[in-house]
Parts: sequence; structure tokens; C-alpha cells
Amino acid sequence: MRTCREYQECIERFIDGNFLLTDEMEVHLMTCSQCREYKESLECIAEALNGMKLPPPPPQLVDDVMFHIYARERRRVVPTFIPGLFPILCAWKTLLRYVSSIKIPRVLQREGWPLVFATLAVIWGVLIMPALEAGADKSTLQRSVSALADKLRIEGEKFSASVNSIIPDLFGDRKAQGIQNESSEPSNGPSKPEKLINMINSYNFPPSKPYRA
Amino acid sequence: MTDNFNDAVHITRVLDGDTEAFRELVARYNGLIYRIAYSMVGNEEEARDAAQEVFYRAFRALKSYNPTWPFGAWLRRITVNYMLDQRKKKKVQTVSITMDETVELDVPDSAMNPREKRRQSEQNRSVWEAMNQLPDKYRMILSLRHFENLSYEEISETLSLPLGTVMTNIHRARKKLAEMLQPIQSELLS
Ligand SMILES: [Zn+2]
Repeated sequence: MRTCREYQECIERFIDGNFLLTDEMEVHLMTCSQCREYKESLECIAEALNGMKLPPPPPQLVDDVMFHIYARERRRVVPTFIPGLFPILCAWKTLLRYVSSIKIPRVLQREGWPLVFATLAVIWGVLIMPALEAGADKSTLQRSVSALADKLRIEGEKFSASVNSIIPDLFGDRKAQGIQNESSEPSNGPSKPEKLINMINSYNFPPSKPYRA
Repeated sequence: MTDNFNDAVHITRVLDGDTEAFRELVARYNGLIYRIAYSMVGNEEEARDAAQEVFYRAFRALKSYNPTWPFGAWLRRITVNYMLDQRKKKKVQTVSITMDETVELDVPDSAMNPREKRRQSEQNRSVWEAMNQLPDKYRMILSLRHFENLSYEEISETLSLPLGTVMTNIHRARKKLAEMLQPIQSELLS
């Protein structure tokens, strides 16, 4: 013999179509007014809920969602891009150090860092922001910006590594020109400008001005 | 099966970097997400915001999507978790304050005569208002059962609850609803 609670659970499942009323239950329902009322109230609640029609989504929801996704992804572009900048700066510094060993205006040597920032500001303002604002396929843009940042980072690291490997030679040159601000030991061996020229020529980094020996 | 296949095609495209392919998925599932959100917040504006956020979360989490699950079920799970989480954060237990009064909780059968239809509509509103007084977990479970027409097993999967707990919660939710509707019971039965 089941309890009313157990019968009511069966009624629950019957309402949800997971259970058929057994003879035992039919008999109980005939004799127990509590369970009968429960069944009736459940039936009308279920009927009301099943028959209810929630409002459909607004027609522009798909566009709104996509806009939201693009906007959120656009905000993520900046942090993706920033870590890529650091190696570029390092590469730039090394490049400046190298460039300073061949005759270059002192102002460029002194103003190296401000120049870096000015150039980046121009790149940011002229190339990146307008492209972001253009509202084109932002995901493609985000991908290409990240790819560019990655590529620049790798190139920068390669360039730094190769330039660093011949830095003693550069110091030798700089000593000869009377530049005293380097703390490293000057190279003991003879300077090898050919090595430097070969390295620069074999390097696939397009310099703003071609190097002339 | 074809739906699942189409979903898989679009998901692969999105994972390959084609964000626009996600639009197809949004178009297919926005009704589902919006309904669940609406049943929890009771007004269009919040439901729309929630749908946007849920789709964005799904977009970001797409890499972790297990393709052996139907995509709709995965989205439904994200929606349910998000909605319950948000409600908990906001510490709102009922939606009566923010509920859209203008919304027409219509009856699907248009063959009814206007008077009957109006009466049915009023009854629906009473049930809907009572439902909105229920605690979130009960409202969610009833919404999944009746608006989404999910089986106990599907609800158990969606809410990550044991089947027994699902059945108990459905029972308690309906019992509470029945108690609340006691005063208008005779009207409902007529
Ligand atoms: Zn009984």
C-alpha cells in the first residue's frame, strides 16, 4: 500500500506523460479526495503552462547578438596587440644602436625613444584605429593584427639575436668614433665589417634606408 | 541529424576564425535562449541583454564545446547557468517588479472565440504571475518542463542535477504553484 505522497509523485509523472494510471491508482483516486484534487489542480496548471506562448524574440536579436560579439571582441584586440609591441621596441633600440655606429645625426640617437612612441602613435592613429572603426569584418582584422604582432615579435627577436651576436664588433666601431657610453667590454679581435654587411644583407628585414658600405 | 550536421559545419567555421558563421547558429537558437531568459526575467530588455551575453559566452567557449552533445543542449546549459548565476548575484528572487505588463501571454489556439480567448489569456496571466513568485530554481525547472517541453532526463542533464532531484523539484514547484493558485482554482477548472 502506497502513501499519498507516493501516489502524488505518480500523478506528477502521469501529467508529464511518463506514467500510465494503473488500476491501483484509479481506485485510490476514487477514494482519496486529497489526491484527486491534487491531480485536478496539476492538470489545469500543466494545461495552462503548456498552452502559454512566451513572446517571440525581437526580430533584430540576431543582429544585436552579432554586434555585441564584434564589439566585445574588438575590445579584446588591444590587449592582444600590446604584448607584441615590446619586442618591436627592443628590436628598434638595437637597430638604433647599430645605426648610431655609422654616421647618423646625434638628434636621432638622443630622440630614439620619443621617435619610437611617435611612430607607434602614427601607426595606431592612422592605420589601426580607422580600420577598427570602419566596422568591416572585425574578426578578420583582429586576426590580422594579432598575426602582425606575432610576426613582428618573431622578426624582432630574430633581429635582436643576430645583431646582439655581433655587438662586440659594433662596440669596436663605436669606440673608434669616440662614443663612450657603452659599459660592455670592447672587442679584442679586429672589427669585421664584412660580417656585419653580410648579416644585414642576408637579413630579410626591410630597412627604411638601404645600407651602403 | 541534418541540424546537428549543419551546426557542426558552422562551429568548425567559427573555430577556423570565421566569426560571421556564428550568425547562423545565433539565428537558429536565439528563440530558445530568449525564451529561457524571458521566463526568468519577465521583460524584453533584460531577456535580450541576457541572450547577447549568453551567445558571447558560448562564442568564447566554443573551443571547449564537446561535439558529441547537441549544440542546442550545450547552449541551453550555458543559458540556464548564466541566468541562475545572474539572479543569484542580483539577489532578486521574483520577477514581479520588472515584469513587462504589456506583454501578451497569448493562447496559441486562434480558433477560439474572442471572449473565450480573453478569459484564457487572463488565466494564463494569473498562472504566469504565480509562477514568477516561485524561487528561481523552481521557476527554471517549470520553464524547462513546460515551455521547452523537456523530459526529466533532459532537465537533469541541463541543470546537472540527479533525476530524483529533478522530479522532487518539479513536484515541489507545482505544489507551490497549486497552493498559490488555490484562490482562483475554481476559475481555472471551469
Ligand atoms: Zn491520496
